[in-house]
Amino acid sequence: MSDQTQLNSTEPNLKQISLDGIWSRNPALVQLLGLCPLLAVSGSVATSLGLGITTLLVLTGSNLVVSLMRHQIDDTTRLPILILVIATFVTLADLLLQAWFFELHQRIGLFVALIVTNCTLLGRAELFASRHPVGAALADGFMMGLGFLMVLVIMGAIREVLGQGTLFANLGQLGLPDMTIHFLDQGFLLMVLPPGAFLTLGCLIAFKNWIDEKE
Amino acid sequence: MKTLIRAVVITLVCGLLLAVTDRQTREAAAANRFYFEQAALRDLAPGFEVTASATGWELIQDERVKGRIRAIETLQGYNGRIRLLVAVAENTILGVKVTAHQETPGLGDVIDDPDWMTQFEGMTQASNWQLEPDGVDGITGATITAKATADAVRGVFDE
Repeated sequence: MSDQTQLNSTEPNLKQISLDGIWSRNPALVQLLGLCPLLAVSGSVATSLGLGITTLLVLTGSNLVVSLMRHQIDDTTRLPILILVIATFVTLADLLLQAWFFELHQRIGLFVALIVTNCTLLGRAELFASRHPVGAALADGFMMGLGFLMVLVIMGAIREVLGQGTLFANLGQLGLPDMTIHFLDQGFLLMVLPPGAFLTLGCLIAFKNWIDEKE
Repeated sequence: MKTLIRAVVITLVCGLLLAVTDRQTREAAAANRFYFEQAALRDLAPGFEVTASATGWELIQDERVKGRIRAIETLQGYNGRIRLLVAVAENTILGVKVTAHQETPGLGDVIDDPDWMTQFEGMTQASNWQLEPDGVDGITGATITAKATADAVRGVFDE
């Protein structure tokens, strides 16, 4: 509670939070957090979008709740409670996916449970939400989630085009209209396998650093 | 003590929230599972009514049992279990569908492709179940997967 006055002087504004989440502190490209789902689910746009949106919602929700409770939890129990809040949101998301998007859940279900281990969530809860007021925490959760979602979808698109020769396949599982585009009959196998995920991520990070350096 | 009580209360609230959500969504989730399972079974044996039996499903037409669908699995694949649903009527394969596998993406996962699976339709116990040239189409780069799948499908006649 005492640290609030101290932090108020440097209270980040919405612009700064957005810039941090999407670009300068992007969880996937700069903090390199949440690599497990990032590499495992980015095989196609449909799965990337599904897991990205789920992560964004869970992150925003957990940031909101952690920020609301920030004066009630003290240092000794903070970490277990943060994990508890995150795990609750993830389990909620898992149950709701089964009820509303069953086909998608069949494909990304394993990784939904793994969102708990996505360090982006614990990181934002610990570093941001437990030290800032609700509005800022909400914005931070949403923007960090958006940054993660964007990288995930870009990787999904690249790997789907190169690896499978299609784009936007299976979007019907997300309740969207089907708009599959076929490029090739057969893709480049490596891009579907885990090394393809590492290569794609490496190229994206290099690209981002190149842009940063040019400025 | 205060810290402990707060932690316990937060845990209880979280637990309660999950319990309520589970209760609210359980029916919808079960209905979804049933719907997709039924849809898969009907695709496998068009024109038949599918009812569950002790060993799988029975195919019913004109109120008589005409065939069956069996869930078959094999460990002879390249990586882990391959699970299949095989529909048979009058000792002829009606359709085959993979329900789960972990074969190599891009090679062994051709078994996901309905075009490859349709070759089993119409085969009988007496058909040539060997891989090419005269029998089952192989899969380039995934001979083990193709052979395991063909053997597993043929296994439906051994019951």
